[in-house]
Amino acid sequence: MKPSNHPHPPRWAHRLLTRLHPAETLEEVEGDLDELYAYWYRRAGQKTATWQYVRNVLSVLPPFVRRRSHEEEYYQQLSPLHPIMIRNYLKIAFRNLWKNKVFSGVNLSGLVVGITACLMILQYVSFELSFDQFQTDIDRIYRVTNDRFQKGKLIQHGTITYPTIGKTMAKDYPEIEGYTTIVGAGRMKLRRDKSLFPEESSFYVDEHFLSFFTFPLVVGDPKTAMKAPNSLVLTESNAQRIFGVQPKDYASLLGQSLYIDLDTEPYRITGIMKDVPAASHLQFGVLVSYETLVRTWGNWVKDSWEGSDMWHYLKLKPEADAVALEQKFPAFSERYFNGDKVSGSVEKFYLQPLRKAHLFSDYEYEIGVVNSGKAVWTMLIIAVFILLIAWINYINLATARSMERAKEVGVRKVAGATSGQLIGQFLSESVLLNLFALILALFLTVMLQPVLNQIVDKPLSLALLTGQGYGGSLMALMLVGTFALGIFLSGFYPAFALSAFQAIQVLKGSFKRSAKGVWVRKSLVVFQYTASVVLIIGTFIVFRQLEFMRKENLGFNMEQMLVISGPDLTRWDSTAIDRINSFKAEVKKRAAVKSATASVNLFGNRLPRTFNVKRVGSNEAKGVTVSRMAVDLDFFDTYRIKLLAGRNFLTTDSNPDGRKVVNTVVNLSTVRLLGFPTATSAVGQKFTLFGQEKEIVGVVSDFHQQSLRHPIEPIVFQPFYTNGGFYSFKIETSNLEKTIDQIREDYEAFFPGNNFSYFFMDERFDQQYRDDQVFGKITTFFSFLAVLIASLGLFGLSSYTIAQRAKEIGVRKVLGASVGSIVALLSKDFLKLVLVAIVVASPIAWYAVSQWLDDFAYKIDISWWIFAVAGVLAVSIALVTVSFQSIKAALMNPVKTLRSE
Amino acid sequence: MRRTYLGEFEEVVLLMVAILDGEAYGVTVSQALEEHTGRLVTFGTVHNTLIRLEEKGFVSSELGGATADRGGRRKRLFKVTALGSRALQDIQELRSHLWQLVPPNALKISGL
Repeated sequence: MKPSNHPHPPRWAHRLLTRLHPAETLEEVEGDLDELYAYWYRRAGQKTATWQYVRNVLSVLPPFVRRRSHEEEYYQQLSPLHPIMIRNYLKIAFRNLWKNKVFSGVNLSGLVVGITACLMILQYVSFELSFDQFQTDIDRIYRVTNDRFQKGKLIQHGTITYPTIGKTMAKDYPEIEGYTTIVGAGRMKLRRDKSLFPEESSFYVDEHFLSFFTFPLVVGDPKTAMKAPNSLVLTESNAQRIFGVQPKDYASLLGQSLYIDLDTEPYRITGIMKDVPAASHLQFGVLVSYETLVRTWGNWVKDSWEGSDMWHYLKLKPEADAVALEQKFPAFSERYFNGDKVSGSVEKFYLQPLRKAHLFSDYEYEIGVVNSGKAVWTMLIIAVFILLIAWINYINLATARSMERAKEVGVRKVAGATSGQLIGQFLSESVLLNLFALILALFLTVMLQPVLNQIVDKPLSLALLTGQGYGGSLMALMLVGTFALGIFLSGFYPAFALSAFQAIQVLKGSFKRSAKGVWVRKSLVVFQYTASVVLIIGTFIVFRQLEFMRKENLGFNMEQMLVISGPDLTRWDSTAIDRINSFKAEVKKRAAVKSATASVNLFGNRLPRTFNVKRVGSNEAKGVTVSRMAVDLDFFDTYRIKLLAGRNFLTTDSNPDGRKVVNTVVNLSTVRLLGFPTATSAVGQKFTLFGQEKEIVGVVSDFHQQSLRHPIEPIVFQPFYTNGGFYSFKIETSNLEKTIDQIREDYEAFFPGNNFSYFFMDERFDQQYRDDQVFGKITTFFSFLAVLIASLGLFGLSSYTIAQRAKEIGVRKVLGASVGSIVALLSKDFLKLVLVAIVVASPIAWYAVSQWLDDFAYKIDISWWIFAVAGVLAVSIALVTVSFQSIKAALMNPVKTLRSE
Repeated sequence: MRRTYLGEFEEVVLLMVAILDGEAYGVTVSQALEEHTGRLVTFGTVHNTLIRLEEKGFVSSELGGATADRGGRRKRLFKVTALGSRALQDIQELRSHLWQLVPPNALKISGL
């Protein structure tokens, strides 16, 4: 074709067109303009045609040209959040979950167990953290604590101190708004006319108490109720129990009389208060005015700088700085205690915030309910871990199935799905599953609530979720937020990983799983198993320590020891000791009773202490501190406490007049403390106790007077008697009920009008470990859950990865691989992960358990074999989990897997 | 449903597509415009209008009919859709209705 027949538009204009015109319409526009050029050329010649061409090219260049939209956008595109799309997501999600029942089951059960466990623990943690939160001024209330030093050594670290402290501090420091002073009254028996009501824990409190704390009175004036001596305030439930009144009749109780224990003088009811909340560190049913104490104990309870049995709480002014105030206390001590000249010790005072009184208080002589903050935080960490493990299961299983779902994603993409829509679909699967799990878990938690409350012996509830628990509605919102975030994040990773697949690759079959995805999954498995191994090791240690405490030789024998409370409603008189001895003799006549002893105090209780005990003949200025225990002459024999030197008590050692009792028995620790070289050398030596000379007639071996949390103390035994106290009987347990009835008969004959109550010494002693045992039970249970959930995850993961290697296994079998070698091959990958987890977990576990063991004075060693056993356990659990699938795969007929394709 | 607005030029172009009956593409529409209305517009105006009409759903298009004098490049051929023809008819009806409402002498040149 000759060029003259076929005119050409100017090349530069054409190039301009091809460069700048949008690609979508270039072909048609180029053609059209060529055709038009030819048309103009024919009609008006080259010059006009060229000019027209250039003009028209310019008219189809940006910004004048309209862009043709992409072809696919001609279909109606819905936003991924369009209601129609969401309905579709849910439908597809339901179908998918239903289709893969094993996958959904594994996932669902993991999540349900995880969430339930988490909710239960959160209830417990919330309850523990919410202690004293009902006190409106909680942030301004502090408790005065008191450390006492003798010769630079800490001898008491307590919450009790001298009666004058609160009063004097409030007077000296203007930043203190108010104070209140409390004395523990133990458990009181209340008497109305002839009827006796079971013991109630009670406090002597000063007149400020009711307005200082938030313990509202239903009737009565909080300002004056505790002012007069012998005033009494009852809680509502006690008022109802004792007087059988309805709330509207409380006012009629004001001014009525009640009797306490043996007192002949009546107590006047001056108020009825609301019951003390369970989450209060101060627990009581009865309040008695402090002035009453002045009458019975003497004036020292108001002005002594030496005697100490008082708890003081201070309320600071809103703008006051507690730290600054605390810094003024050394000057306070110097001013009033003058070194150790006044009380015998150097006194140091501190302020303990009320917030810490329940969970973070490591003092002796606690007034209230104390729990270990460490244990509570441990529980919280376990709860978080369990939930994380459950969510990780979801992530792992969902991404592991990516191969299976890759084709689905490919087809969806080809059919026009955007990645936003795919993410929406996968997210809605996770949200659906999680919500379902949440509902089941809530249901399960409510069902199990009574059991849980019984195990931990606490009134737990789901108050946390309704905004009535710790942190109020903000905490509830935060929890819901955390949960929503967890669901979202656990659904997010798989959703992104799955929707990112390239449709072409997937459908061509050249698709490979990314190495990154495998790496993420592996680290998640390592994390899960690390958490599990830490929990296994922790559980082991807790149990070994509990076992150790139970089995440890306490230094005395408390088996088959029946203890009855002494007749504290019988009056003490000159015949009391004789009566006690004849009662013992009478009971001992019973065939089943082998021996009997009376003591004022018993094992497991905090013993009273005496300071400034000095050896006679030593020239030391200040003495030592010992504990005291009053026992009769059968005590050491009955409890099989070994006599190391000297002799036991004789009947002649005791005297109704306490000041005339000179002979004492001491334990080995006292001998050492007083500076005697041996037990034998101490016998016959003298020391001063309360300024009176006492003689050591015997030395007994040391024993654990309290739980193994506490160190063995130096104890001085004196042959005192009391009508209160305890009688211990070593008995034959063959016919227990009959024996108890016989003892009751004797008791009622000797001490009419008293309540007969008994317990077994070993049970009572073990009660000291109740919190530890509950902690042990809970950690075991939840560790078990964590391991279970992690195993579920591993089970699911292994079944999918092994299913993917079905062809490889088939080829290997055809080529002659044995079943054993295939199982080994398949299990190896997972075992490697578990081994890594054990290595990571061991130091973490070691740190955690040594923190826990620190609270015990006598503890087990953390030995390496515990870690080894935990490791072996973790490996075997993983192995069992994985081999289910790997053995099944290895036994499969290779024809089945290789036939297709 | 609010009817999509059809501009004056759009209406003329749409009518051209209807007139060309299957043979409408950039070149023929431009030429027909020139021939029937005497309007000389740039190719870009026609091109843009056709795209806009398609977006509004009044025309549909497909590629085809490559010939040698366009260097083997395909044309984009336009057809009036049902919606487009409906729109044209609506306009026609509206116009005639309005014409009937005009008083007989209103548009006559007065004074003679």
